[in-house]
Amino acid sequence: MKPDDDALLDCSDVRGELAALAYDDLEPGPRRAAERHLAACAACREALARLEGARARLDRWTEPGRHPAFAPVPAPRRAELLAGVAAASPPRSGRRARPILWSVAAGLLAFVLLAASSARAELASGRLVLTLTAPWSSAPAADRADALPAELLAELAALRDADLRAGAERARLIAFVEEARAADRRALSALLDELALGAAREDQRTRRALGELATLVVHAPPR
Amino acid sequence: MDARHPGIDAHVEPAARRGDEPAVEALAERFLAGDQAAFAPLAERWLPELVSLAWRLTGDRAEAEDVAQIVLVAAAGARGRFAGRSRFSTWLYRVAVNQSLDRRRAAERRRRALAELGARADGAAPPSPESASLARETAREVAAAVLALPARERAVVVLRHYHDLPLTRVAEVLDAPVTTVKSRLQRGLERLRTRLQEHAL
Repeated sequence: MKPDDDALLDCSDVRGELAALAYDDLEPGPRRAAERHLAACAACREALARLEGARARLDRWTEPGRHPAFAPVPAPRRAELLAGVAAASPPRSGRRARPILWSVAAGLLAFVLLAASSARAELASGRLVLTLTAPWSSAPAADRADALPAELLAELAALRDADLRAGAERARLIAFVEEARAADRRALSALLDELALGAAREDQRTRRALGELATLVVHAPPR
Repeated sequence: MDARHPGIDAHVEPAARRGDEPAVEALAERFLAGDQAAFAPLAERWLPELVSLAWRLTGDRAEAEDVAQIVLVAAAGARGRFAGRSRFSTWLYRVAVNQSLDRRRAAERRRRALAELGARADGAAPPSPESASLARETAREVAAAVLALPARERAVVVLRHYHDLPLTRVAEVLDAPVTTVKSRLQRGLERLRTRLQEHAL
């Protein structure tokens, strides 16, 4: 619906615009038209008042300092977090700095491949085919997430910080992820998610590393 | 969470972050043009915003910090791939929203946060006569109501209300038509009102 300035609106026209009106998000024309209707319609005025009431209630979840959970990031914690970002980001002067996330992804996948002995998952993208295998089972990952060996997952987590060796396998994996179609990235991400779920509950580091990878594989912009 | 940030009250940042958009956009342009030195101040400006966004979507402070870091690391590595695609800020918001809503781990934590907030909001602690404590209880109720929203409505409500993005920008971030975003906002607000009314009774 696109009400213009002169239109006479009925309730069904206006009801869908009330939330936008409550947030002052209507263009001047539609806004004036809606306001004219509201001036003449008590039911729509009440509906708007209800939405505005909800809007006002939302403001109560902004009480900095009242409770730790509701406060903004304190300066010392912010510095810590930024240091973490800097440590994980590509070096300043790298001529063609490879984004860290692909290095990380490639490192983890390379390990999965090294540890592999049986068919695990196959992801195809254009001319590249990557076969991921794992030693524990050939059953679908979801069925045996609990069976993931803790040592393997610990190794995966350790690899995240390790200086990854250059090699043909790694290059192939990097190329795969960079060229992967969105659907394949999602498949890869789902696989990493499953690995994360399989990690021991107390092993937060592994779960976190795998979970991060799962998301990065999906959300990094394509080449 | 209380134990994780002892003494947080002593380091409260000013809530107002608005008004520096032109400077931040200029930083983003420098960064995208290849100036790596622009990244650190850019990350510093964005970190609290991203933590806040992810926290309101997940209900979990540690999760929110994770999300913010991941988004910034991805941004640092993704420079040069943005050109012409979308605004830097749009991309940051989008990845943060997706990160917060998509991850199974995030969903687990949200459920836990909700349960905790729900337990408190339902009067586990007797309301104190002090106004600060009452405000805290109210904040918890509102937080629980927001976290209970369906993901798509929650994203719209949080971006529009707490991050003050106009609906057209929310639509860009979520890659959805404005009409869709509008109706999600409306449904979300109606749901919030219903839920908060039930709690008030």
